Amino acid sequence: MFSKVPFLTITFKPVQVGTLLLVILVASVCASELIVSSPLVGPSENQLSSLRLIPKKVLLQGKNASQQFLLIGTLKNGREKDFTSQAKFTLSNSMVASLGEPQGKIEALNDGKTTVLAMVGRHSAKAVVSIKESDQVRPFSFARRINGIFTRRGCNDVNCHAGVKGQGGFKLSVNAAHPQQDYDWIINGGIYQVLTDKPGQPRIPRINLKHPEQSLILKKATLQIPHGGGLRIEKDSGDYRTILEWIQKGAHYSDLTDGDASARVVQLEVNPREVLMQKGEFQNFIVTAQFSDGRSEDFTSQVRFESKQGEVAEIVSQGMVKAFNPGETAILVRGSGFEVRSDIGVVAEWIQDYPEIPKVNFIDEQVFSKLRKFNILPSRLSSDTEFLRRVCLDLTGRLPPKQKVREFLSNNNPKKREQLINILIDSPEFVDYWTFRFADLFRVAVFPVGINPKWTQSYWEWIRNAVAQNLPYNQVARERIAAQGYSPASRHYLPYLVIPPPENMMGEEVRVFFGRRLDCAQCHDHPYESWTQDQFWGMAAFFGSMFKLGGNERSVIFDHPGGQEVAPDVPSPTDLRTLHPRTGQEVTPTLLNGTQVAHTNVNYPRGELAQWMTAHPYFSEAAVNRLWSYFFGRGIVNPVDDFHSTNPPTHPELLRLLAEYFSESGYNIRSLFKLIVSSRTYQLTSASNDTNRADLSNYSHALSRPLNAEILLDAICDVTGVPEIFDNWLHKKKGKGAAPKGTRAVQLKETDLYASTFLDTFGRPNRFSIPERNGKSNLSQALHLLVGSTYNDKLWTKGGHVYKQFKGGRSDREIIEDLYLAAYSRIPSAREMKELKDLILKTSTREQALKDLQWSIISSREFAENH
Amino acid sequence: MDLSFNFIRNLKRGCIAILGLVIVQFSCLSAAEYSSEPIIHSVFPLGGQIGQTFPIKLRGEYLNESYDLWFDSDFISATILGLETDSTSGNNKVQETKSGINSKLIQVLNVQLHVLRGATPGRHSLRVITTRGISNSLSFWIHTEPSYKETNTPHEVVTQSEQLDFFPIAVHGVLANPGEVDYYSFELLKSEALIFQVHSTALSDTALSLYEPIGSWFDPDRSHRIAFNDEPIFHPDLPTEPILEHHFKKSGKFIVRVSGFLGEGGPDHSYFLRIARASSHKNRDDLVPDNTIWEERLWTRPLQSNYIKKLQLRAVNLSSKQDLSKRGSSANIEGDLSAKIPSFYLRETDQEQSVPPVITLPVLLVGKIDVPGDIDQVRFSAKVGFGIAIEIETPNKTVPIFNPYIRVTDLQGEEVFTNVHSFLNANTEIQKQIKPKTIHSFPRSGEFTLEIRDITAVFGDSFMDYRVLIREQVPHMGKIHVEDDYLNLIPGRSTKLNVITDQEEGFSGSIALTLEGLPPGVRALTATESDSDKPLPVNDGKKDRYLAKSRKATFVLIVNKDVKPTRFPVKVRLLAQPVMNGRLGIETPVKELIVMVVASNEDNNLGANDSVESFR
Repeated sequence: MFSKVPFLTITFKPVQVGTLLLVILVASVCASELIVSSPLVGPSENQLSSLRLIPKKVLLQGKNASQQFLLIGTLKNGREKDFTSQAKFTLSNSMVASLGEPQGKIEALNDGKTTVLAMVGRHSAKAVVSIKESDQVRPFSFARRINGIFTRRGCNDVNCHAGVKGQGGFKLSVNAAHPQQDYDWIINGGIYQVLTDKPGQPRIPRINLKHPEQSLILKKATLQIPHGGGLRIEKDSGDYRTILEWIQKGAHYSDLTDGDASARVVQLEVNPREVLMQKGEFQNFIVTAQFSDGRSEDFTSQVRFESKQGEVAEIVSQGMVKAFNPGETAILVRGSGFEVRSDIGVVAEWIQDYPEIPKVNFIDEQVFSKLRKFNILPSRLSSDTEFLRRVCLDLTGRLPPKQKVREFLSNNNPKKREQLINILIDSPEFVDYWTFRFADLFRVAVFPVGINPKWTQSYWEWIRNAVAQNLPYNQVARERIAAQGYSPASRHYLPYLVIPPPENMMGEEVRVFFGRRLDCAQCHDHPYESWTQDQFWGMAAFFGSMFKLGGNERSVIFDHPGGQEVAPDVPSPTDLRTLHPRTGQEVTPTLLNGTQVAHTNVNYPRGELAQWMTAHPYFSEAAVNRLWSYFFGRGIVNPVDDFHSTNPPTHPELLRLLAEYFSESGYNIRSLFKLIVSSRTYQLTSASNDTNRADLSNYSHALSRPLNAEILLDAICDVTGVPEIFDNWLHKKKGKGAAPKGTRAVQLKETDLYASTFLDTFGRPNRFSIPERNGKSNLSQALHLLVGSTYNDKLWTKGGHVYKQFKGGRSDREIIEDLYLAAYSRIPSAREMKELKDLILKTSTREQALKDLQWSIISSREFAENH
Repeated sequence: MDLSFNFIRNLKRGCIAILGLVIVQFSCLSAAEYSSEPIIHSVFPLGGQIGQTFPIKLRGEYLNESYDLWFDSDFISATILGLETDSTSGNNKVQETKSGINSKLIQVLNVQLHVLRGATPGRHSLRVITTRGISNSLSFWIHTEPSYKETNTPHEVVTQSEQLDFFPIAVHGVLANPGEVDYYSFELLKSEALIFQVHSTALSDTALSLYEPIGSWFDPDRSHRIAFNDEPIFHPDLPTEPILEHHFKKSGKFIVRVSGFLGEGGPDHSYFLRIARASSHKNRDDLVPDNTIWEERLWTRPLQSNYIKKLQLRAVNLSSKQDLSKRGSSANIEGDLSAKIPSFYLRETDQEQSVPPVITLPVLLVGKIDVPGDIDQVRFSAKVGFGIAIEIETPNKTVPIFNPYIRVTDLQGEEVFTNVHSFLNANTEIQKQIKPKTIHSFPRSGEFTLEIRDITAVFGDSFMDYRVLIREQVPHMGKIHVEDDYLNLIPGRSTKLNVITDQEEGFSGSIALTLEGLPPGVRALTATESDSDKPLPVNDGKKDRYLAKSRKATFVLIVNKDVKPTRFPVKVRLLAQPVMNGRLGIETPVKELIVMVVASNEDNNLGANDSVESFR
């Protein structure tokens, strides 16, 4: 199969081309062949190899206990498929249990044992069911019975009554995480308040013991009175009767003497955890709850199922999913305060005889293994020109010089890619580029760093030194988190001559080094995650004893020794302690794992925090995820600083292995980079094939990424041969300043002092907050492209490459070839060469044609993207 | 987020501050524009070798009729060669104002300089003498190294670097344009350590970088930066000019780059780069402030063992029957200067004892915070009402690198006082500043523990030495501040001279001030004037514990109409003498002012904002 990708489109600027109108050049370089051309076939029952029942063995306890079974078949090609709905179920002993609805459900009748037999054609599977205490009614538990209903019906969803302040004056905890609190809100009423632990007024009980049917909780849910959430429970449903009966019996919390401590759910499990489906197929899920007393129980009917990408696969009934379109999604299962997930991949059709893909390292093993499972073929290996341009931009932020392109292309050494990687990683340009990258992440600029250029420079130099010396990343992180004194890293804590509130500092450090956002837990328990408000403030307290010594020029950061304020001679208008916003109590620095860290006279908790954070698995996985994203345009968890349970890694095992590798290498960034760019995964072409065209997250082919503003500007300067002049707008009495001639945009230390319309238009962040470059195009960019100075004034300047070649009598062919090598790192195809030469001839003057040619090249997508 | 909110709030404050600065700068510029006194902006070269005669160029304004230069050394003399208008400067302009034509004509004064063999190496002061008076001062370095002046050949890129052939060397150059950098290359035949040091005009803030020109895959002319020093740290007590000592581990060609911080550049951005072998370099002795006798709040002031006696020279000895009113009568006290304060060396082994060592006062504690978290402690006794003064010297690394925090506690561990001054600033934000001097009077007798540490918990090293003088308070006359260091007086007019006096450690007497050596026909009268209203501080905290009390005095210098202009400046000395309970202390010279009487205002094209006032 042959796939042509017409993405190398060059357009001559209409206003400049005169008689030359729009011309489209189709590049042949990216035309690609799929690795294999395979007939696509789907699975059938005839291909069934074996069957198994899940669970294989189960104990049902108590009256009306039941278990939903899942029948999984293994096909001859190794794929697994749900056959629950297609099977015939029978029991060996119908006196002790019966078959229920839906298909695969077994209900207890009497104590004893029975075997469940499931058959599909000639294949069968067995499971053993034991039943005991079948005559004993299970003790009532609010947490299980009533909260289970709320969960299933979506009442305690974060968008409903589990919002921060509840909804309509009624508050529930997220996914029934805090049943005792839920019970209190229902019984006593009241509104949750963020800044105090006292409930807000008015307190209106949601139940009516004298007239249970008049209870608000029933009338609202059944829509007998207006309810913003609409109809949630039908009046004749079992759930309605359960709640009504509970109120009629006095609405007590539990029959158990210990409340519900022994019946507390400690873990939820969903099965299967990963599913591959074909479009149109169904898949059942079962959910098992583990209780604090050691029991486990089928919880499938007690939880809420939700699909993250409904267009890929959607819940069609409790515990059942249908695959609609190719793609990936996760099924989120919520209940009793827990949230678990199952990953689903949907393919259109199946590839027979999936080829063996060569692998270089464990990255390839992980990526290709998933691709194989998801029936996606990776693209072929990139061409030398594609690889050369990509790896130079990714490791150094620079285009390869044209002479180096020629050398590389003519080099027949099979190790030349490896050799190039080593050269680039050891180059001074690598130091420039990664200093720029980390200066971005660490927010180095004048205005976000104390409005003091000296501080900015010293902070920048600290980063540059770390990159140049290849210092272990955990050391760099420790130095920044624990920074004290006048150290360069401590300048980070003085964004505007005043130390920011501790919650802000903590939030940023956790986001940068843990890849997590705790901010939502600042005012209340995190709505989506298990982070509590107490955890948030416990972490914030590590930064609570920081203070600034001295005036604005020589501000020294220190933490009050022993946690006691130094020289408390003057009453402070603001409390220098870290106070919990709801309780008003001083908060002790507490790690996320609950460990409290005390101040001592010589040790400060922030130092301990830095040690703990950099030794925590979160640190390594967040670091590799972020660094990975610089090479692939997305993180294994994406966005890179938003790890949470509903934003899972696309390749969890790969993430774990990368984190392990990074940690074992001594947090060696260069070593990690070498591993990444050496992988076949990185070196795949950006040309897609029929199976991976829609894939944006499995690394089946390289994704084109727009060059960041600074890289693009430097590239334009390189191609045109006209360097940018960076004037420093900070006028002083000593005169106007400017960056030294030849300074590249990535080398600017205090980037915000150099005004640049181009950089701002193309997405240079101001670094007031952690930069997020989205790379999206906008109208300003289009206008700048047409009339902006960067795109137009550099085209015909005395020192410019083309101008010099023009004056030097170089032929059109030579000039075109040089431009292609400089901009695209490749030689133009014969067709491109011919069409361009024709265009030059047709243009009124050769000078105008060469200007147009340059403009067209630096305006093209092929130039402005890394692919 | 709060972050952005706070930022905006602080940005507003920053903008207000910047606006204030702009206004101040504008007003200063206005004053300068109207001034017709000679002003010199820069000199090139910035120094010269002892025993040499060489040309220099001075850029400035109102340099017509310059006839000599003034130096603070008798071993330097000058011959004026001529004056020209700076054709390269874009700043030349003539402005019409209400008061008439106002010129901002940049001129270049060409001078031949003669540095005699007796001249002292180091920084000197240079001024221009004209018929309009004497100019402001510029620093001019006299050095022993051979000079090298940058050529006119461009050397802004590594490949064009100018070759230096010998060490030690004093390279003189100018960063003539914004963004300009100067590259100099040198060859090393073996591994060795060199020291690089840049001096520049007050206008410039230079940075030093070292490179190895080994090229890169991308660019054969690319050089690798191997060292950098911009002295980014603000040291109030130490020079901030970059010094870079580097051990080159191999022989070969290397490059040193001089650049301006933030890329400043212009014709006045001259610099002086010294390169020497590290082993032979005398380092920065010539840069450390030499006259620290009046400085009581510099971390680097030397707390010598006769320090108390030196303070007593500025006090009034109420018990002494000797009349100290006459100058020179301090001889007896000078004799006492040999009396030593005992030193007490804090050793880590002493600190390992459960009870800190006991000291008696006065004492000079000598120790170091050699490991992070190190806390040194001593115990001492004090009686009720005892006025203690604690002074800290950090001779090597100082604030903000080493931040000595002193805390005195009683036997119960309760804090009695520290050397940290807490106060609320105008934005009602609490501020804390560490102070090199603290005084306190004990409200009760007892034993006390004094601990010394770095206020952070992460710094400690062998260079973090301290000397702490613990003594009884000596009420005395403190530092005398005079804003001006030169005056051009005009016959028939008056000129104001403000003097600020510090009173230390409870000194409650008066400080008598005298100006000595005024030119004939010039009188110095004391005057009163109204201070502009200042906003009351929000809360100064325990200011008296950490700061001296300041008082302002004003002289009005009146020049008779018939006084003839002076051809050369005269040195006028300011003398101060403490007075208490009718008794006089020693009269002490404070400062020398350079004074000239110049031609009347009509000839000098005086502007409206000139500091000279008419009198009838």
